[in-house]
This record gives sequence, C-alpha cells and structure tokens, in this order.
Amino acid sequence: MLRKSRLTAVVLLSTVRCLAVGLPEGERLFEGTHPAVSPDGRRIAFQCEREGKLDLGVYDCASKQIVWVDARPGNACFPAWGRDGALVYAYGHPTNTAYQMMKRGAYDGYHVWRWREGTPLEQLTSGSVRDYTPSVDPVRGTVYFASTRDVPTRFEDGCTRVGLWRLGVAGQPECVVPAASNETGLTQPVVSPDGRFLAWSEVRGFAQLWILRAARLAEPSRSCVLTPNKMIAYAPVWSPDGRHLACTGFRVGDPSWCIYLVEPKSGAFARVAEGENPSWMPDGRTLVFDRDGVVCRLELADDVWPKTLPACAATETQPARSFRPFTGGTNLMDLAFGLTPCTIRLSGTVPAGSDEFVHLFRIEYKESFLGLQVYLKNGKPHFATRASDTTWLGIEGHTKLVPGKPFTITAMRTFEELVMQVDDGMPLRLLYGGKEDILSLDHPVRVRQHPDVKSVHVSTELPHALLPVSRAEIFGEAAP
Amino acid sequence: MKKIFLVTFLLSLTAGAFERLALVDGFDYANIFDTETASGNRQVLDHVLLTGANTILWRNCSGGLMRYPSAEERLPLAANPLDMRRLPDSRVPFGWLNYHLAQPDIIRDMMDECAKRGLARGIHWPYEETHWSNWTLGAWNLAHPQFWGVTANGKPWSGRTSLAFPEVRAHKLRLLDELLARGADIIYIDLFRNGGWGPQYEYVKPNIEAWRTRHGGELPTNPRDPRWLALVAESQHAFFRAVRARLEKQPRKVRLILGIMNARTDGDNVYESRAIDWRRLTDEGILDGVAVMSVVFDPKDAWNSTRAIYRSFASVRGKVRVYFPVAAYNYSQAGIPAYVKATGESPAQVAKHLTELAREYGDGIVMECVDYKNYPPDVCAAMTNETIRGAARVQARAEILWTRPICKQPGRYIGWPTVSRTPQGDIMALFSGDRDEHVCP
Repeated sequence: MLRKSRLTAVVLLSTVRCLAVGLPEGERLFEGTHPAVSPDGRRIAFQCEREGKLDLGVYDCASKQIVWVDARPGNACFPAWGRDGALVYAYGHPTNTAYQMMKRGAYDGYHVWRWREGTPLEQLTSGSVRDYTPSVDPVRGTVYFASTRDVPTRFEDGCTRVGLWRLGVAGQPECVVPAASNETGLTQPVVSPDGRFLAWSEVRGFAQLWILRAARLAEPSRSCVLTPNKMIAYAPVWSPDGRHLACTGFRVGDPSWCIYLVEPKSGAFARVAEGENPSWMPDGRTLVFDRDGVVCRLELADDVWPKTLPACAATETQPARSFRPFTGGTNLMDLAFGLTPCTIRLSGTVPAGSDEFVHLFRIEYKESFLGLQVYLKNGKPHFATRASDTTWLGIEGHTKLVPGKPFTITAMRTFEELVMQVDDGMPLRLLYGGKEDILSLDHPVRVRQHPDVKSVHVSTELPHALLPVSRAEIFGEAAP
Repeated sequence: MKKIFLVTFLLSLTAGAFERLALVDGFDYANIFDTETASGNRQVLDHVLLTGANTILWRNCSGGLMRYPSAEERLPLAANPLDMRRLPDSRVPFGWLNYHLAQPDIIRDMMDECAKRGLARGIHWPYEETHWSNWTLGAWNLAHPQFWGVTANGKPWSGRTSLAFPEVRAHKLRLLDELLARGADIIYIDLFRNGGWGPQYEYVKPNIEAWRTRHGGELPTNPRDPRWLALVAESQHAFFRAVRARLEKQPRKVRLILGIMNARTDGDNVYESRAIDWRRLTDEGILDGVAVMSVVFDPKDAWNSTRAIYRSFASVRGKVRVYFPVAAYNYSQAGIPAYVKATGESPAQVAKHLTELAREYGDGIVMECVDYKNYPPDVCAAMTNETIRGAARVQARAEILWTRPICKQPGRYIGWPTVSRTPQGDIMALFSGDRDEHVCP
C-alpha cells in the first residue's frame, strides 16, 4: 500500500506547481505512471517503480486506497481494463543472464497476464518474446498487444521489429498487422468503443517520429496516419464516444510531453495539458494521466477541444496514369524530376550472386552519385534515395529474392516517404520523419541497369495502389 | 656492505610510455562470455590483453543503453520493453542483456580489475545518445523532448538532445560524474560514433536566438554554412570546456582524449561534420590526447599518403599526446583491410607498418575495437614491441604524475637511482642500497 506520508507529499506538491505555458495542471492523485481508468470509473490501475522494479497497483477513487495486484519480482506494466473488470498487463522477470538464456535456448520474455479480483493471476501468452502494451476490444473482449513474435534474431535479418497481435478464439496469438520493415514498431493497439477501428502508435526507423495510425478493424493492413507532420505522438486511447483519441504528444515549442486530443476523422488536434499516458474517465470529459511520476486528473474545459474540421480531402488519391517506359540512355533527362514524386518499376530475373551486393538499377546524378538506386544486399531488395545532405534514405525488404526467379519491384519516392513493393506483396514504407529534406535530383549523369533487369518503367505519376490511405477511406462512414 | 636492490614496479603506464589503447565493449562478447558477470568480463579482458594493449577503454554505453546501473539513465527502467517508445532488440543474446542489473557494477569492477593488473584504465564514451537505433534511446532524452535536436525544416529528432541547452550539458556532466566515481582515469570521447548527429540537427531555440542576435535575418538552410558551423561549435566547445573543468576537480589526474576520424591533410572532417574545433581544444589545453581513428589515405600511394597525414600532426603533438589507428574493422574504409587491399600486404605486415608509423609520429596506437579474435595472433605480434625492438625513435615527453618514495631503508643510505623502460612498457628503477653512508661508488 502507498504510505500515507507519500500521499501527503503529493498533495502538497500539487499546490506549488505552476506551468509556465499556462496549461491546466489537474489534480495530483498519487505516485505512479501509465494510469488506466476502469470502465466504471471507480478504479485506476497504474504502474509504479518500487525498489527498482515495476509493480502494478489499483487505486480506488472513493477510498483513495491502493491495492498492489502484482508486486512479484520482475516488472508488471502497461495495464488496461476489459469491460468485464479484468485487468490485462505485461509482466516479465529475467532470472538469468542473457548468456545463460542463450545456453538454455529459451529467454525470459515479457508476456500478457490477466488479473481478476479474487482469482489467481493468469498468464495469457508465453515464449521467448516480448509481448507488451495489451488492451481489450471493448465489444468482443479480444486481447490485442504488441509483440516481437516472428521477428528474426539475426542482426542481418532485421531484429528490431514489433507487430500487432491478438489472442484468437483458442487463445493462440495471431498477427494483426506485421511491422512493415526493420526498425519499425507498432505498439499500443486500441480498439474503438464501437469495435470498428483499431488505432496504434508507430515508430519508424532511425531518428523518426512516433506517429498514430488507424485502420478499420476488418482491414487492419490498410491504415492511415492520424497525426500531422512534425508532431510526435504515442499512447493513443479512444474517448468513450469514439470521436477523439487522447495521446501523448510533442511538437517543437512544447514545454515537454503533453496530452493531445486528436480527431481521427478530420485530423484536428489540440494540446490540453502537460503530461503523458492519458486515460479517459467514463464521462468523456475527464482525463487521467501521469506527469513527473504522479498520476493526475483533469476535467477538460469546453474551449480546449479540437475544433472539428471537415474530413480531409483525399488529395493523395490522384488517379495514376500509365507508366512511361524508360528505354535506356536516349531519354535520360526524363529522370531529371527534381523534387517531383516519381515511381520506378523494374522487372526481370533475380541475378545470381545476389547474396552479396548487386545493383539492379541506379541513376547517378550530379547532386549525388547514388541519387536513386534499387539493389540487392544479402539477397534482400533495397530502394534508396538521398536526403538533401546526401545521407542515405532507404527501405530494406523483408524477404530474400531467389536467384533465377522473376521479380517486379515498384519503388515510389514522394515528398513524405519512400515506398517499395516487391511483386504483389505488402508495400513497405519509410516516412522521412526527422531526416532532412529529400534531395532534388535534377541532373542525371548516367543510368546503370543490371543485365538481368529486363524492363524499367519510370514515371512521375504515382500508382494508386501504393499511395497512402486517406482518412476519408477509413473514417468516411464514422460517426459525425 | 653494499647491496644492489632491483625494484620493479608497474606504473599505470605513465604518459611517457608507448600506449596501446584498446577500445572494448563487453556487449560485443555477449555470445562468447557471460558479460553480465564479473568472471565473464575478466575473460574479455584476458582476451583483449592478447593484443598487447596496455590502456583499456571500456565502453560505458551505446546511446542510452547503459553498461552499469546509471542513476542518470535509470527512469524509465532501461530494460526493453519497459519504455513503449523503444523497440526491443530481438537478437540473441544481445537484445536480452541487462547490464544495468549486473552485479557487481561492471564499470566499477573493470576499472578496479585494470588497476590490479597495472593497466591504464578509462572509458570509451561515444559522442552519441542513440547509437543509430531505437532500442538504444536514452531514458533521459526520452523524458525531455523539449531539448531534442531539430532540423532546419522544423522536424525534431526523436530521442537526440542538443548540447546547446545548458540542461543537456548538465545531464552529460552528471553522466561523467558517474564514470569518474567508478574509477576512470581516462575519458576517451569518440567523435566517430556520433549516432548520426551533426549541425543539421542544431536548429534549436538557443542556437536560433544566438543566430538572430549575431547575424539577424533568416537561418541558413545549409548546416555547413561556415557561420552556422561556428555557432554550433560554441556549444560543443562549451561542453568540452566543462568536461575539462570537471576533470580538474578530481583528486587524481584524469586524462581527456578525443577520438577523431577521417583525418586528412586538406581539410577537417571533424569540424565540418561535428562542428567540433578539436585544434582549438588542444590549443586551450582542454585535451590531453588526440586519437586519430581513421585517415583518408590515397589507396594508390597508401604508405606515403598515410605518412603525410601523420606528419601533419606534428604541431598537435607538441601540445597533446597523439595516437594513430591500427583498426581491425573497416568502418571508415581505413582499417587494416583497406590497407591490405591497397598495398597487397598481409594484415600482419600492415599492422606492423601502422605501428611503426605510430611510433615515429605519435605516442601510441588505438585499436578500434578489440572484439573476439578480430586481431589475429600474427597481427597482435606485429603490433607489440617484440617485433619492433629497441627504444622508440621519438621519445615522448615526460610528465610527472606523482612524487613519493618508492623504497625506504630506515637508518641506511640509498642513492644513485636510475630508471629504464622494458620493451613491455614496465618501468624499472635501479639503485644502490643498504649503504652506510654516501660514498661515491
């Protein structure tokens, strides 16, 4: 139980804190982070560091008492409630060194557990994996979570990926959305109150931004970006009416991490407080979040909500026109597209020796010798261009191509992202995020093409299938 | 009765000795030895010493992934996936290490162990906070987005802070305090490992305000604009000056060595890409050493071009100790493999050449990094004194580290000392002792 003296200290602290930026402060409740309000609003689950580990507690809003529901050795974290009053969370306890685990052939991972009052703790997942940030579909009761399942363990194969998973009917984990590429993480999946949409946080690549995405639950592989460019956001939670997401966000100029409200349908957003890890009270007007290791409660004023905007026009969905064939050295200047988005489509046979490094196609520019290139490295396809400071921007494909087999690679470069699709597979995307602006490619010097690449089509038009999914496509039929 | 006493003692490789700096990271041995244990790290050290290294620079972190229980990088807890903003590393066993939980404290233990073995000891501190990937983001950085670097077009770099903020410099100095408290006698700051940072991410409020005060008008969009570089260089310089001041307050001598990369005769890659004026740092006495981690040599004339670059450090050497690379890896296209390719010589011959050049123009070599068996036995032999006999052709300057008696004979007379250095770098003192009085021998 939390000591009374600590509670007193928290209350005293709340009286002296003054935020320089004029954001409302909220009522400081107790020491802890990652609060999760129960569906009936009577309890707040949270995690708290005690004696060098994370314990899971439940705070009773009426009595102000805390019950520690998981204080075992190890870390219990990321609590989320189900409609039935059960609590899911992640728990892990490394009992051996990594070397010992390697010798044993099994690793002490993190798994999803469930706490239900009056019953023993229940382990829902297992294995040498990290399962974390679970949540419960409020309509179906299905448990969603982020996981490193099916992620390679060799550096060369891309070992830092996290995808979205759920527990199927038989309690077996099944993948909902795989990570698109290495260095990509999809975490904190949350299903909307009506059970129609899935939102999550995504981190992509080195120095990239955390962004929010959403998709229809029925088609989670087609998702749109919810947060504006240059805004960092994670930890989304749906408002009880499903119209807004509260999240942790940051934009340059903010005093620190802040609580933002985002309207998924329009993209409108508003900053409402300084803090992290929000959770909604059932009234849909009060948020609970943590700030400086203390759980706070804030009733939102009428004037802080994002002003509803018209649903975004689907500007990205311009119709694709036919590809213009590239015929070799005669029309090199076609490749002087500057900053205009462009697409390259290569077809051919996978060359032998592609387990090392083979250029399939390369356009050399005065601005950069490696301005635009498609290559195989360790058998995996790569599409890369350059930032304005000529640093590498690229995508690595997941799967090795088999020498001698036919292939098609479609690579698209826009202002915001690179996209690569191998054959008819899932398009892989790289948002430039924190990187510099993309390099203007105005002065082609030479085109290099591997003899096994049989056809090259270059176009300044963008194929519809690769364009980003718009908000309207996802939320067009959402509640007003 | 006269006796000759031979007193042999190991100084922790005084500044006058030819040093062989080994950059070591237990992380890289995690699949070979149990580096979360003291015995495992001793095995690492044993292996490193096969290279002839006499100065050990143990890695303290990769980005924010700490090799010891850092109070500064403690919250949120360092292990994956306890901060949902980090991506777990699934490599086995590397992604499952919990160095921050290891007992005993790895850095403190290894500093002690080096001292016991008579080795110079220090920290290899990369000039980075992200180590490129999202699994190594620093906890402090994650908690303070308001100090993150920003590009010219206003995009923040999620996880990398800017030294232009006094709060960030203070944070880094607290990290330095943690290293000093663990016994480090050398702080080696590695500018090669910058985690991708550069002046292009320094469009932050303090720099913007400084620019407007000084120059007015629009900010330069080109981060290599000389005026922008000069402005960014000021906060970098301030940090190094603060580090020096911190070291000066230590009760013992702590050396500050700067690892620089891509040395050449026709420019300064360090200043252009890091906005760090290392020559000014040497002029102002902030550094004790400069370690050249790679050079931009001409493959068509590898040895002469390398010699020319080394020679260009003559003026620097008058102020600080200078180390030159014998690098097993080829990250910068200037390691042993690059010379092998350029010259057709064997790796051992290349290592011998590089060591000889380092002896001629510098005060030691830097091995970056010593990993498991990446310096084969013949290369190790080529780097050691056994194959380069005789005293160094260029003697390093003497530096008085301490003055105290090393041998006393109460009631007797001793005198006429002389010292010598063995090929292994040990210093031996020879004197006449057990004497009744001063009688010239």
